[in-house]
Amino acid sequence: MTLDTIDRCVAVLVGALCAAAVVTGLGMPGDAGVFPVITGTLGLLASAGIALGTLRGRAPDDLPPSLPWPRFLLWCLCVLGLLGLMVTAGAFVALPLFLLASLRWLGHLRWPAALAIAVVFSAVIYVVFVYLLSVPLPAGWLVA
Amino acid sequence: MDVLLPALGNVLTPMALLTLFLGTLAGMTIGSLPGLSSTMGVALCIPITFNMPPDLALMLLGAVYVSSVYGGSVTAILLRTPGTDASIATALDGYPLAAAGRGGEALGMATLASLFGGLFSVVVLIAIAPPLSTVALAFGPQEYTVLAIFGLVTIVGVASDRPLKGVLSAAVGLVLACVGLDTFTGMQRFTFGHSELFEGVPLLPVLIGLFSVSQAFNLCVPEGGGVLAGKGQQLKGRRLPLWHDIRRSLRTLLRSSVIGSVVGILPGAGTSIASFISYSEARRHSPTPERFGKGELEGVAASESANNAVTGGTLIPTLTLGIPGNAVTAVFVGGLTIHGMIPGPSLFTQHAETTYTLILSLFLANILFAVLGLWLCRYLVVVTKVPGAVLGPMILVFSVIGTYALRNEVFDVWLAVAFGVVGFFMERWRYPAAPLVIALILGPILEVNFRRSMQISHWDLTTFFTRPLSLTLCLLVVLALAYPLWNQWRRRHSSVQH
Repeated sequence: MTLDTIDRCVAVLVGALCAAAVVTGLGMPGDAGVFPVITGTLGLLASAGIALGTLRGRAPDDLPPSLPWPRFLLWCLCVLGLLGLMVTAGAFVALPLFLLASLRWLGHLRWPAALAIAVVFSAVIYVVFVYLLSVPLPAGWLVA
Repeated sequence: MDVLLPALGNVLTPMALLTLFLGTLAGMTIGSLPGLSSTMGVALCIPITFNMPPDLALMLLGAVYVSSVYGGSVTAILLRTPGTDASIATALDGYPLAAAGRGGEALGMATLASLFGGLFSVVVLIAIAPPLSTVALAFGPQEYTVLAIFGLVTIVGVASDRPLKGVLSAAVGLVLACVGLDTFTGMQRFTFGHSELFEGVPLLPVLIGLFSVSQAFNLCVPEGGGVLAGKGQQLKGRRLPLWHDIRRSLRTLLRSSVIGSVVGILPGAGTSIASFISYSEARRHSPTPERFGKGELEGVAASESANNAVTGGTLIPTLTLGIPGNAVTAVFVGGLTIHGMIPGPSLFTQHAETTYTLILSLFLANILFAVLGLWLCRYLVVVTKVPGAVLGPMILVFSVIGTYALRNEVFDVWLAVAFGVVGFFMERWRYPAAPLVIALILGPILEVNFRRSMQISHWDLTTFFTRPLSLTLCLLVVLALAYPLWNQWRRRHSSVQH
């Protein structure tokens, strides 16, 4: 996909968002809708400008850098796993597991090295946030 | 002078020096971690000061404040993960320098610029605090409206070489700034019933998402990614900037320090406005503006001297009038009152010795963080050699935990990750993220003051041109809009002639 096509899609998406803000703003009582109308209109104008700009065409090499989808999806899965586990199992179960998985599968570190970094880094997080700054991180299963 | 000498004696005791050292170290660490702001740093230290003498307590809070603003630059330069919004402009040139193996020079310049800006603002604080506060009080809603517009125009101009994409990014930020309960009517706007959004889209999760989480994606996703990816593992640059580079930046340092001090005095204006205005001015005055955004030491100097000059500036209305200019000075006021000191003119009469001890300690704290920073920067740049897939997960963990620590809300963490994905694609598709964040900061200031101006003037738009201060700012907006266009026209004209 070229940058022109992407820009067109972004212009349509943001344009729709801004149009919705304008319409909603117009229906607001008093002057509560003034700012959404102004900002939405600004967004609409910018979207129109970008969409019109794409009609001029660009050099054929103007492509965004290619995305390694398998690594991107694996990373997203790791991140989603971290967030999901953080709430249920607790931060100090989720953090080492996330670090271990991403360092092993994305960083290609050997298991012992990945494990050592995961444990040491989680300990640093514990000392800084829980011990020194008294931040109550989600305890999850460890609460019992 | 009869107050300054005893105050100097207070600052130079071994206990005071130890307090300053610990406060500076803590501030630098807090500032460099995504999600931990200066406000949080000062707030966390207040309970520690309960049993301390007022002099030492204020020294500790002051040291944490000034050094945390500097601390944000370290990660902004080396990893493009600004700890606070004050360092976003620093990352624009700092990170390209680090990616080119010149992280040491960038950190050195940031340290020296922060020192310059910090010392300048302390001198301003000592010398001309009361008259400057009076000027700040002359700022009404009209002036704040135009100042916010000026900030937006500036950021759109400097953040990208494609201004329309910058405008779109800023417009999205402004629309997001509308989310939450309306300050005037109490009506819910775009909250979809989520109580977490009643106070608006929280700024720090968005900031952390767009800059830190997206950077974790940038480092982790490409095979063999890293700060120095594709440039070998050698750090080519020097450990510190050359004297020639420092001398070249002297005018920028002075100009940015003045801008930082003045913007700092204005309540609510904030460090990010000061950084971006200074950055824009540095680019405008530079003989090589095309190098800005690609790794220009002067860009780092402009942003860092301005954001550190804000620290002294914000303390001027806080100490002289009792009006805190931002969240961190509001917390600072809390620290003062705990020790029986009511901010206002009485600080300079009844508690003059303690007040001047605080001011002089800020001077020393600036020198301390500079010494520590210059010593540490040669070691810190090693972080740029760490492979991206090892660094990325660590940045993400810090970002997630830092975001959670803000309000203990899992919603904020999801928001940060969502904005991280948005930021990742914005960078790939060449949409600048900085205008979105700055618009989110300036949006509420702009809306509240615009509506106040309209209510005062009964919807007469000429109100912005009838007040001298507001009119001056309007002219600056016109100048900021017209200058790049004129410059572009001049370049085209000269290329046609050649």
